Amino acid sequence: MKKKILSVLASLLIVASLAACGGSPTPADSSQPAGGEPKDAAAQPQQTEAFTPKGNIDFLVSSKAGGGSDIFTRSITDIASKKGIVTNAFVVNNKQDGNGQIARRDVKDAKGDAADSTLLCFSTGDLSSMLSNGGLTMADFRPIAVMAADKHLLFTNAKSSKYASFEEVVEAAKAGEQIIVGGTSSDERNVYDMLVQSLGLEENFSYIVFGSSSETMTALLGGHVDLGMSKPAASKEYVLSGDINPVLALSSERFSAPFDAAPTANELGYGVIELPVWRGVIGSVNMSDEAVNYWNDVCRQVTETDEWKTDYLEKNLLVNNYMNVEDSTATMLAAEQSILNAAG
Amino acid sequence: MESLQLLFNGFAVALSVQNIGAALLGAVLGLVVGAMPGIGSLAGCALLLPITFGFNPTTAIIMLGAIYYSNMYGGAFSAILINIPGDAPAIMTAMDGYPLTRQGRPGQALMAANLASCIGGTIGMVILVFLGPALASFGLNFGPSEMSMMMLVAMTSISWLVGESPLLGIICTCLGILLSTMGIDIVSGTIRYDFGNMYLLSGINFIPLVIGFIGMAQVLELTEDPRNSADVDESLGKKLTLRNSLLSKQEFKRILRPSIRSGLLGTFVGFLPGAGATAGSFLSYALEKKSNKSKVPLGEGAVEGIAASEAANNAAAAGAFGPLLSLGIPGSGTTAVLLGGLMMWGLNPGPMLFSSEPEFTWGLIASLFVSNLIALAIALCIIPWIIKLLKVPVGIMIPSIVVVCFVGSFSTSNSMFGVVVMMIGGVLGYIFKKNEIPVSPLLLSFVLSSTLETNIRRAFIASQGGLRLFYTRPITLVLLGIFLFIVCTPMVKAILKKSKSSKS
Amino acid sequence: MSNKRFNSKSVIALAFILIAVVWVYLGVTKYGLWDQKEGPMSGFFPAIVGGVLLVASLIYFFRSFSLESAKIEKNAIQLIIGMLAILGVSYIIGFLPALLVFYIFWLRVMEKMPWRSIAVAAAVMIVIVYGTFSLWLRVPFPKGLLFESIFG
Repeated sequence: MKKKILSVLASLLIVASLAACGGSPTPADSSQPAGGEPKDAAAQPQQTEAFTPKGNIDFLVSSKAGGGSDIFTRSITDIASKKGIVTNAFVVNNKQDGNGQIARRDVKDAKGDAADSTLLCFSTGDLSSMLSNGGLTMADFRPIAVMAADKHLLFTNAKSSKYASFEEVVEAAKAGEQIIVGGTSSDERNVYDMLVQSLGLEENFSYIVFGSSSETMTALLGGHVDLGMSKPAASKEYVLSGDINPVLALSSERFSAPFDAAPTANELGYGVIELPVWRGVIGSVNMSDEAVNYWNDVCRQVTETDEWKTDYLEKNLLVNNYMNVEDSTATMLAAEQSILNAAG
Repeated sequence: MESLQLLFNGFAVALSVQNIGAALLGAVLGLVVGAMPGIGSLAGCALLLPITFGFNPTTAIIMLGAIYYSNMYGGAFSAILINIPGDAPAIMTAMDGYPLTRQGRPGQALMAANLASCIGGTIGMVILVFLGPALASFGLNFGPSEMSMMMLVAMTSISWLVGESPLLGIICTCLGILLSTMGIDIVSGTIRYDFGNMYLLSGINFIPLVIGFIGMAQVLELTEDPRNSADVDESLGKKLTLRNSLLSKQEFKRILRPSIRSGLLGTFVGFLPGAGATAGSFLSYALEKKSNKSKVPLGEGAVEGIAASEAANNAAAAGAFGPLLSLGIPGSGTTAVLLGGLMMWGLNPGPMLFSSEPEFTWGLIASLFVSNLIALAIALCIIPWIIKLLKVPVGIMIPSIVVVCFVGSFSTSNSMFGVVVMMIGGVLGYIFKKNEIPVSPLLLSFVLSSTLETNIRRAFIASQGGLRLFYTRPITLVLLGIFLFIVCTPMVKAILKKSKSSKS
Repeated sequence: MSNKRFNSKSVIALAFILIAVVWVYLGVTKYGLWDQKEGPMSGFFPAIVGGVLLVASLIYFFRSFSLESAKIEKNAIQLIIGMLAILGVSYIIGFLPALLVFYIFWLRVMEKMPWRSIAVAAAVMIVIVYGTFSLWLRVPFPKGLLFESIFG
């Protein structure tokens, strides 16, 4: 048990440190058009700098239109087209069959030119659901870029909750009360598992899965769960209106206002518990190095626009977390490992 | 009345030339897309959302409201005319709408549907204006145990729809439930009944299933009709004029009561988080079936049935705005898309929206009233033209509907899996039809049962594997009472009948 | 004709029984029924409903012998074959072209329409389907192997 927690924490530390590096990319390594890598030049007589995708770009989204991943993807394609970063037309394709597994399989199976012009929107949640569906792993894909990050908080109902702080919740649980936590499946469930494992109170906590964060909030507002798990974007309005209180930040440091009242798990002495939810882009394992670098560069240019900062990041309360190819790869692999560990 | 004052201000915003133009455009587009089988209101809203990006926020939201609203109207067209319901609530509309069309009176069916939609929608909006926030917070009391009971009531009233053979009704209800268990079980996260097939990881798509079971099965049955029936078409053609499409005064009276009743019920269900328009229109239809006293029984082309289903559907659509605007909670998939749209315009629907953005919120509500009327006007204008569709000979109808079924079922999830589901559903639906097995209980239980199961299990988890939640909460107990009443009434009646007959 | 015989409805009842058995069996053995702390598990609900279906289908099976058998018409089977053909052909020449071929084929061969009417009907269908679904709503229909290899 202890060992498991340690390994989770260790891998999380790797993620965290990588995230810190990725936050401030040196212009040299990210804007470099990858021409300096000798291994590509051999196969391709053209300079890698000249890589341009052919035909339309298929951008797959493994969940339905209007959801978080869809908004992320359409923000990228809108900005990339409007700013002339990419002149090829983007075709955003929502394929939600098989929990998104079909979209992922289709991307994995792309070959040749198609592999170079097929992108997939990918997040920690997608990764978690991909692993639990089975059959596909990160080895089937080429990470392209991580672009934004998000973390979790726990909330209580401000009006009807018996507990004023997370410490009181833990006290009550130790005294034998049953604590009901509500949240969505995949990444929120994973971070819940990490939390109760490190508290050693698996028996006294129950987790109810909701279909979306708005359902979690509904249940919390109605007093049907003791604690609700959510990311900042889905809960901000309710915190501002005073309906719910943030009681625990599942992050290495406190969130900014209006979530700053919530202490981190580490402050309360439970150790660092976090599962950063990044959003990024991946391609098929068959995608060429030139294409991977080209698309990473596109993502970098998108994240540097004002539209991205104001219309996407600020509106969705996300943190800019652009990473180059190596850091993105390391982050995604580390996240895969920590999810596998948490699931046992 | 403060809200009235604000509503009038809202009308001032909504009635500017530019905004009416936007609402008009939105209504036409929404109507057309809503009438496409397989697109329905959810996908329709999602697909048309980008069109609104070119306008200023208020105009864009008004247009979005019009699209959302007219989508609901459009859904009735394909259900009534070619028996292909575009979404789940339209299944009930098709149950009486299509028989009426077969009797050569599609105009009346469409007119009844649209008038009832307008009445139901208006009721929903009036309630939204006066009681919106209050009802939305009341809806919050509906937790896992309340929702379980509510769904149990809905599921048991499916049996009212079957009539002739309760046994087949039970069989089909069970089949629908079993089919819906395929795919991921969201409570525990395990995947069940996927039989090792990747496409089944998320279960069977509902819309292709409906298109197959009802639409495709219909076409397969049509192939059996004698083809050289030119004379029949002639007489049908004569009837299909505007004058023959008008509802008689008596018929108008017949739809008025069910529309109002269903409008009230639909609005209430629309306010509950996660219940949605399907449960609303379904419960209203079942209630109408139970209380209907007119000459035409429901299911054989009664305008009351169409009215009940459509009024509840649109009332629930309006009701869903209550939790959306005052709590930021989307009540259905379609309102979730709408929420996405609102957020794209920099609005954060939530507890503060009414106070922080009054002009905007009331402008939107006012525009719902306006688009309701615009959608009605447009729909009524289209009726005389669109019913001409039925003059098309059966021979051409068959391949045409096949093509529409294929395209529609592909479009719901952009995959051939939808097409395969549609084909299998079509063949099974046809076999069911030939063997007098009713399909609507199967489809309805398919939609409703996952809500039932998830909530029952959430209630168990919340009471640590016990039944505590089911007998400690007042609303749950009331619903439990209704449930027992529904289950016991037929039994008590049967016993009374027996004792009476044995006495005499 | 004797009243008691095995017919189409008995076959359907047997199919229902089979489904019920599979669902109950998998529910009990694979997905689990009851958990001390969480109550019903994944297999609980399906197993119970499957049990009800099993009982109801058995009753239906025994009743079915006194019911009329249903007859599947030749025309319907032709259409089913047509649908399968669309599915197969669409992998080669693409989804929409396959539907167009089916449309013209059906009108000409099955309905014996004159070419002129077929042209009009096909034109209307192309406008509706291609115009709204493909051009306007941008549904990405599969292009098929043929076009995939030509246009990439």
